[in-house]
Amino acid sequence: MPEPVLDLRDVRVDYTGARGTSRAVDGVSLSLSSGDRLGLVGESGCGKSSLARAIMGLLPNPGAGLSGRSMRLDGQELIGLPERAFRQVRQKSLVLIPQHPSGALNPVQSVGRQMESIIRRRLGVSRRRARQEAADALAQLDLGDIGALLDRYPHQLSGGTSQRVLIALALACRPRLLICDEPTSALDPTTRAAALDRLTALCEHEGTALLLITHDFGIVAGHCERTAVMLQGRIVEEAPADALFHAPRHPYTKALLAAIPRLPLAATEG
Amino acid sequence: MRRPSAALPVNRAARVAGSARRPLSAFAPALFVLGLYLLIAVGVWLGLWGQGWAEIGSAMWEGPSQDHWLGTNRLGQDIWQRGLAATATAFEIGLPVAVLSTLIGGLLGASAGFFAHSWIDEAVLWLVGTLEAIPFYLFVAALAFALSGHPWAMHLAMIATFWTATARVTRAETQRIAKLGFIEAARAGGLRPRRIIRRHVMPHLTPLLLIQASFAFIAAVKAEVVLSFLGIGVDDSVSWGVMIAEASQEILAGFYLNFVTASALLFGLVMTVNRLADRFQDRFDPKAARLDACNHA
Amino acid sequence: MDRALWGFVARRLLGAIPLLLGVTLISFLLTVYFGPDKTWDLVGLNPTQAEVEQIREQLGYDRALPERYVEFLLDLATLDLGHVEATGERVTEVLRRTIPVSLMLLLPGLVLGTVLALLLAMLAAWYRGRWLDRLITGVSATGMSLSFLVIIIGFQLIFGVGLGWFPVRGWVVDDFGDYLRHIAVPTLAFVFVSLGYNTRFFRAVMVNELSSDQVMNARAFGASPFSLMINNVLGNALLPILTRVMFSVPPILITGSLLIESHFSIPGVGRVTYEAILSGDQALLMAVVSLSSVLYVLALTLTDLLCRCADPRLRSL
Repeated sequence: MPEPVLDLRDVRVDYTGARGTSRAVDGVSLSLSSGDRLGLVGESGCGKSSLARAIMGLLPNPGAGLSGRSMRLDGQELIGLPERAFRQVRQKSLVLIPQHPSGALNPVQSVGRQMESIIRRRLGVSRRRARQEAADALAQLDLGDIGALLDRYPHQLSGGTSQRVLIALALACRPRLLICDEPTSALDPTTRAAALDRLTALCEHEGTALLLITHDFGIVAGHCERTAVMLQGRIVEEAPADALFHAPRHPYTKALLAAIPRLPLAATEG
Repeated sequence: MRRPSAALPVNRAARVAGSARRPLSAFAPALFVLGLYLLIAVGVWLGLWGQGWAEIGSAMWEGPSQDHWLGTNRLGQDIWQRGLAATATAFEIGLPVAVLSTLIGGLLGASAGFFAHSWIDEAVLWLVGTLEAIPFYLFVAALAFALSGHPWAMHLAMIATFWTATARVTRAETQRIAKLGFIEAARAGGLRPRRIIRRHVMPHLTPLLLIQASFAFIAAVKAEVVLSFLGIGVDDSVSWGVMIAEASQEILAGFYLNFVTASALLFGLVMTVNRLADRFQDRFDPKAARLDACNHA
Repeated sequence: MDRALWGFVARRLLGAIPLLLGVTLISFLLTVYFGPDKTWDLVGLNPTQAEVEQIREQLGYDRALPERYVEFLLDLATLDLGHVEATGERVTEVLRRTIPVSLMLLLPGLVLGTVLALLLAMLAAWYRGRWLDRLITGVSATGMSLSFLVIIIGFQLIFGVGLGWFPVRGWVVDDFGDYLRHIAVPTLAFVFVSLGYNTRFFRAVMVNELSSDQVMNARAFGASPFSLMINNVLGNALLPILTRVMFSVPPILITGSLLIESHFSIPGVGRVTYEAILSGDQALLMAVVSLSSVLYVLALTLTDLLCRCADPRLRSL
């Protein structure tokens, strides 16, 4: 069996502050192979974001510590990896689509310029080629006049547009592992569906592993093969998506699913 | 193994968790020193020591001795006594200026910030801009002439210019606070602006005002040194500025004590207050960058 | 330049008019209206009432405030600034002679101080919390607590008298080497004092920027520390830094020139101003106060303009 892209074994993340240490991630074990799509759900504060940051190597230092048995990306051990090496890893294989799109881009550079320099650096291509890649990626997300968009500045974009720009950027970088932290919160249902479709299509095409962090079960149901439920730093249940929805085993999962408001059928007929 | 940079925290929660809150004991050494200075000043005011600063003696430029612990200056005056008295003068200048300029600046700044973009705001901004345009030392010089020898000319000039920095900062902070939800709620609830400012805005401004007051204090003390050197500062009493002004000539002849005493005392007080303000700011207002130190050299 | 920019400039200049009026009014009030009464200096001994009144009329003391103010404004606008009492030289001449000297003296220190502070601040912000940051912050705090005057006198002592490396009096600049030696001590003093404040401020701005989302995101996409600093941090920190530098330059130049030149006997604006303060020379004081205030207001406008160029977010305004 080929090596999994991401392999977490008993990973722990601790935050140290004036009031002592608190454990945000408490022994998480996960595995993602090429082309896999895993949805990570849980309420706010359960540690999903911390886990995402940990995988990216973006935990604050001093202030947080990553420990555990092992955390490998394509076989390379990430726990204890020094920053310089981690940056190489990030550059080559990792992309994180952040939760709040509006603040994520550099306000003083145009969208095109930023995308260009990031893509250029990561793919090692010429500036023109990078711009083309950026334009192509943006075109896949129904964003209208691409040329004008590239010349705009981040503050001129709506929340939804910014989010799609980030998704496009992520796609253009062709990472091995793509982590999405609430990637479509700013989009309306139609655009959301379209964006996610593109995302998952590309992941399949390129063999990118996708870790989708969300608290929207609908997204998970539509786009992920497997689901993991996180509670207070631990994964309490992990199963193929269908199985989880139809036959949840852990009481927390059951409670989460039960909490989804459902329209009574009568209302849709009237 | 090189650790990742400390400079890039992850999110707000992690950021707060990562910044240790200094224990109160960190204030202790600075408070102690400040207390010493205050003690000296109070002692002078009560007549306990430093009273003989004006006595002219026959022993010029003496070194340290039994009679004169730190020697004497050109007029045979005791440097130790002068140092003590000058400390009191520093407080006499610094405290009123700090308090009044902060009050005025805080009041005007808060009004401007609360009624942002109204005529009040425009008026305050205009006033601030105008006063800041005039070079400080020239302003004092001109004011000194205009008031021809009024004993409080220097204090007035300082207050009239220092309040602007406080006003700017207070205005910005008030604008920020006024946008917060609970202020809007208060307004919607029908509270009068004055009431809102008093009960909801001012408490948030207090740490900021205290910090501004300490900056104003320092600015006043340092400004006095320059003013006395220029001859438009203290002239009926002794101050660090007066001592340094005297000393600037003596020093070339090799007599350091006057200069060193005054400079050391000055540095000590300023450094201590700076330290305290820093620690205070760390503790109560870590987000507000040190964007507002009063800089009058 | 596009029309929007010209419109912006025009609007800003227009908006500066109330400030200019305010500033000139205060200058006028302070130096002319409430200034020393010069009547008695100009009349001879035992003047008659008629002579006194004649002089007063000459000096304009009998006219109303608004009238005198307008006259003042006109004088200022046409640079008819009167004569220095002591030497009878035209004020404009004095300024023409001394301003270049002051600039040559202070600009190197200003530029050096700012650049150095930026570098130190970047280091401190990047290595925040570690020993380098603590060292830089500590030194800044100390620098901030030092009095400019004390430093000047101290440096004069150390470098001039003590070590004898550099001249501490006079201004003999026949060649570049001379120039460098004469500005060495003043520049050093200037940098020493301004470094503390500037480093502190710049560091705070950069730390703020470093913890922003966009920097985190750039880092997530694999930007190197160098690229982060230059592209993401500096670009965004430029605005507050630029504003602060522009705001602080005029007062520092004036104070600096006042103290340094009077102490080192350098014939610049500061020294003549110092002498004017001592002797109560109204004409010169009035000129310096008014001109520097006006320049300050213009500098504000310039700052607004620069900020607009630096930050795309402001361009829609």
